[in-house]
Amino acid sequence: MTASSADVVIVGSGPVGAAAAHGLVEAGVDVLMLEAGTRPEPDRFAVMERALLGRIPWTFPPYPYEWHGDDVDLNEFAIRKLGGSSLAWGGITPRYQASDFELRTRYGVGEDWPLTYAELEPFYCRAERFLGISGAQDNPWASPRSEPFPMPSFPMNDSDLLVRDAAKRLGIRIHSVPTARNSIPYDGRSACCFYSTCRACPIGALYSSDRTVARLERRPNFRLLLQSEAVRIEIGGGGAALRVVYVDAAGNEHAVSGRRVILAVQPVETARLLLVSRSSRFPDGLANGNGMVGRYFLEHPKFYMIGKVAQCLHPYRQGFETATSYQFHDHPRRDEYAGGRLLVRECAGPSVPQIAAASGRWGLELRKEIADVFGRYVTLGAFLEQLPEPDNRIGLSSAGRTRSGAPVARIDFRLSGEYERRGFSELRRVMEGIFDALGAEEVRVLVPPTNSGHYMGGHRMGRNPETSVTDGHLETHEVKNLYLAGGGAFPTSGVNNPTLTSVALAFRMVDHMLGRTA
Amino acid sequence: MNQSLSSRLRAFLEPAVARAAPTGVLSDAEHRTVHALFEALTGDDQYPPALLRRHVERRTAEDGGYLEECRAGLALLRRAMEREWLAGEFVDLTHGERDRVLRRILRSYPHEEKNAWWRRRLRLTSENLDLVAGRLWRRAVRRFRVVVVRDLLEHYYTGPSGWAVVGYREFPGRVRSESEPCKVLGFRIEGDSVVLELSDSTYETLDPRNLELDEGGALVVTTKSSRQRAGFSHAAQHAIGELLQEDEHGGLSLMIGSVRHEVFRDGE
Repeated sequence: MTASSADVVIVGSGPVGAAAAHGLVEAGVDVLMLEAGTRPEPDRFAVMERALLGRIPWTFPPYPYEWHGDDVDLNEFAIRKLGGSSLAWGGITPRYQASDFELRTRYGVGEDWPLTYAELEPFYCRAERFLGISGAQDNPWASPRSEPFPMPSFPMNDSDLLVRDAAKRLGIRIHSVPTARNSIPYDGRSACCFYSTCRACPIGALYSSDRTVARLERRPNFRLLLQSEAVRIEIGGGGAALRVVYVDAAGNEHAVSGRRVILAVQPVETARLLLVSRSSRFPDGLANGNGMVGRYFLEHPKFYMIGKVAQCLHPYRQGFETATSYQFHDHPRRDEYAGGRLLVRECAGPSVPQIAAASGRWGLELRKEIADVFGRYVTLGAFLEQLPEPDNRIGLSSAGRTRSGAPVARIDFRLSGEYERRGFSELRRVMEGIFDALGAEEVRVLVPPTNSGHYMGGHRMGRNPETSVTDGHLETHEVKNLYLAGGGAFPTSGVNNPTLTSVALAFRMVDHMLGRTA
Repeated sequence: MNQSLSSRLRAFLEPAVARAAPTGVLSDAEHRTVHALFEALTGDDQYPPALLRRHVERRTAEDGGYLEECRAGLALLRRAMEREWLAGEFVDLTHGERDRVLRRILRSYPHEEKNAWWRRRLRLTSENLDLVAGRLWRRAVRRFRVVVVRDLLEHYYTGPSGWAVVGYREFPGRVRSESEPCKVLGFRIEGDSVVLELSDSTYETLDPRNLELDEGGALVVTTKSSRQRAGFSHAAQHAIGELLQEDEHGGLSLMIGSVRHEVFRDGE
């Protein structure tokens, strides 16, 4: 086994790992980053062509895992490549609301976060500048902000405007949603040209962290090791994290030691890594003396409804969501049923190539069918809040093994309980009302409640070391110098896409490491 | 493990392609037949043969099983022609005859959105019925439809010509990158790289191998992963001229940092 060292070792090159690395490298800290995958394909246009067909455009070896419970996909956004989830994300970046940080205090359900919205707010601003967020301050339910968005928002599309006007007649307010894509050239990256294939933005208008890492690679105090898969963390005599052991592409084991270690991978892998890192001091897994590692795994149950309308709404010209409503999120009966974020999809109904690929026609008949089917749909969707449950957990499989021989993750998970099912019914009723107001036909649930690819919980933060894995600065209670970043730290799910908040927490963690915060 | 029941069922029913089958290239005659098939499928006889050939060559050379499926599809066409008492080659047939041959092989049915709602609800769509038939007794035909026909249709309908069917003559993306004029407005140097600022408000790192002099001696560069040629604005040309060096034979090279990159003349 060969060994090297750095001040800080970061495992994972997704947006959270990249943000942490950025903050530390800027402060002159020596950083070494481990990434299990390779660099993404340089020909982003070829990737875009795959995305035009609605396929997952990247090819990568998926995380193996053993599943018990509701059948959901854990690999959709857990991309094993430089850039991680940011290679396939939608770039929707709303802030959590103040109430999301105090769910237990305000409603008596779920859990409070160990920090308030006000404490995180300056880091939200930094995260928005870092990712490059376009947005407008037209959300009446948004919590106060101290800075304007770095860029103006994108205009609403035909579908948004149609839904907005229909919803207005029902007293529902539709407003813009912030996104991590450039509405104007920003940070040396392109402005969005509406290629409409955001999961493979060919021009870098959508933030992806591989570009951040590429910039960091020019810095003398940053090193990147690709195809280096962390397999366990070893501790020293004092109980502090000391070495990250990883295997290279050939399967050879190496180790890198660091004064601090940050795990910035998705929650399933973080929990698995901790659980396999057993020692005499931590017989149940690293930082798991209280048995909390892997517990309270969370997702956002999402569903979509679709209806046919008379006019063509010219979809697939933008590719991303530009309208939403928080009216049904922080509702007065949030203790009884889940709130949800209502959204309007721009890519509604099948695209031109999707129609062609699913039709049994050809020639002029197919052309006529495409013109007839395309664009006459409205799709509404919702992300619901999921309550944390201790039995929704990540453990170790007794059967499956990784390439290095370690147990794969075992997931025990139920997406919906009564709380979430009632939330689904309420939001469905709201959507049906909007479809009625639109005069839509053939209204149906397009995607029944399923997961969103928003992996949260599993190493939740909290003030109480008995019921949480890390403190509010993401440092584990039991192993000082070991930090667990990412959505896995969230004690509750809220209804927002988690990346912006994860990045804001990462910047707060970095400030803590640098001694800049209390 | 993490797929829905219906997608698992679909994966079971759909014919599998022999990924381990050899890759290679079709003959010129086979390419001409594929192009004729493509014309019949798309209803477009103006599509550049070279573009289609590039796509098909890439598939047959890189994706195991595709070459075999292509040849099996061409054999189906030949057999169908015999049954229709049509002599000669598929490429020599009229549009009407080509369509007749295709109908001999493939059942024409609508997209699921054109099926009645109750059929969609019960999953008794035309597509699903064809899927089941393909599993039970029409395997070769289903493979032809799924592997070859749909690939050709997808190639066409992901491109500008396909999107034009719904009036997106300026559909952003490939249309923009392939058919709109694009200019380099400026650039910046980042370490050993030159980042170009393009007129569509995008930025991309210059690959010096893509820089060349056109017939008139003006500097041009292919951008968007070799999909679009871009000229330089006067200001950008002047600025990048500072990085160009001429040798005693009149050859040009671009100096980025300490690295010299040769600039070719058009056609070299």
